[in-house]
Amino acid sequence: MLPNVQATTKKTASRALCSRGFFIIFLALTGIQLSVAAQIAHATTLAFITNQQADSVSVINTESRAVIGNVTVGSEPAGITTSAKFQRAWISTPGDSSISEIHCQGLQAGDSIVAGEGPLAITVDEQRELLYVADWYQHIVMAITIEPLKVVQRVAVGNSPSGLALSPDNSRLYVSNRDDNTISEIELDTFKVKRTAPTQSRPFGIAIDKAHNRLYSANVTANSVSVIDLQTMQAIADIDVGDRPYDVSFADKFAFVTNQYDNTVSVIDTVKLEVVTEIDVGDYPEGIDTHPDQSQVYVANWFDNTVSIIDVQTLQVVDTIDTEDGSRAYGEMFLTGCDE
Amino acid sequence: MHANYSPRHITRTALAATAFTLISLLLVSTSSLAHGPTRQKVTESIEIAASAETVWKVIQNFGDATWLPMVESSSANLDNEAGSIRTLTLTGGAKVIESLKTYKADKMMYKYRISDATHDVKVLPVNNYSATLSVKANGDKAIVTWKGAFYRGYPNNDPPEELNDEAAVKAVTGLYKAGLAGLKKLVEGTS
Repeated sequence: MLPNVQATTKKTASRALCSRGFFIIFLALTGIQLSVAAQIAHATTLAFITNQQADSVSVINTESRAVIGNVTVGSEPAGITTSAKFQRAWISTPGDSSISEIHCQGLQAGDSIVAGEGPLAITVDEQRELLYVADWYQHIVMAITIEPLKVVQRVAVGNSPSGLALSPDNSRLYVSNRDDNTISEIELDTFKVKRTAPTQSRPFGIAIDKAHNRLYSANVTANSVSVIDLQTMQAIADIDVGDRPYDVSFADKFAFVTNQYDNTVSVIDTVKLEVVTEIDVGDYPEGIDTHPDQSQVYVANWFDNTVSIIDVQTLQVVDTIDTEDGSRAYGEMFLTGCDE
Repeated sequence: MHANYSPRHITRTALAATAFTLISLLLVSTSSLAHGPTRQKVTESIEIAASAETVWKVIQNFGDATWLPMVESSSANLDNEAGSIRTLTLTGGAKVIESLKTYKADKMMYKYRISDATHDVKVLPVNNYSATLSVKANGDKAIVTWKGAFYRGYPNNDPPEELNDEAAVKAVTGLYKAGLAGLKKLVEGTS
């Protein structure tokens, strides 16, 4: 973790003035401040919710379930990814074709860059220190350095790439090509497409079931989820879900799928590969992600401007949080361990 | 979905004309960058001095949308069953074809959509349109809420003015305001 140098220096300095004199001030200013940093650091988990119509990101403290800030970013924020290592979240804003960063400390908007024509899906590769962004219009995936934000590589994929998922071993990146009904597999060391798998019609959000090494794609017009074995890159099942599925997330032995037109989340048993229940959420549920403690799933409801929290044990909605207009939160919304 | 639309061939139908006239002075324009379609939404509500049940009775038949001032006639093939297709004939002759998605009599709501395949953006400048109509009791009065989600009429970049996000929101807002005002008048005038 990167310590918050400014904030902790101030605190240490003021305490030192009261009790320990100038020697301590000298130590504080030279950066020896670990004990203070430890006292105020919490392993709090934040959730970053992009609000497309409000041009903002609502940040939820997942312990108190309160919105602790709304940060203005770009135009029509949609995609989201986060990193504790880098202490920030990155947001795709298709309205101005940009990627913006938010520093989790103080929730400050940072740099932004124009990236392609229609950036939507975004994910961070902490190991390579890169962001990957799918461009809906240019039919490419871009690699962007984090500091500074700069597009450094591009690879052509299928038509209208819409979803991204990193393999658990960080060697491959999967891309759903909405208008080709395929999934592309990019080898990250070479940044080249290696394999392609067909899905049912209009795959959008994708996620990887690590326990079974399978990829799930939410197929918007087929009203199904395709399950692809990542060893063979073959679809092994297509599971009917609700109307206009959007995105997928995993928790326990379940896959949770948002159904935009049904205002529900379909719950799939990943062993039996069948739907076990449907959960009513808000209107037009879109982005969905699992809390790092695996106990809850968050769903952004685009029409209602809310987030529904689903308890993984009971499969019930346990809370609904008001966010701002047009909540989408498409991607990885959680960040644990923001230094305070 | 990526059909070619000619910006010069837009003729205003009675519906669009009604919508534009009604709300052109009321709407605050919101500028947005013309880059890629983003789904839009509109919510309009009205309070009606009648019980929720009374109001629901007027709108409960999906096949009968003649409570809407701009609808001349309408019919549905499967009444209130999910999947029922209704055809609205508007003042001036334009037609809108809608399909019923969800019908919940106990919650006094239904949700329906317009199929792009049978939709003319000259009638309503939207794509991928879905809407929910619901009635709730508020004391001895009723609140009717109409919610719509849709994309603009032109699906690609750089839309003509008549088919951009703003035009879509404006048209749907106008339709909902006029429709709900008509319903209020119809119910309160006869109760």
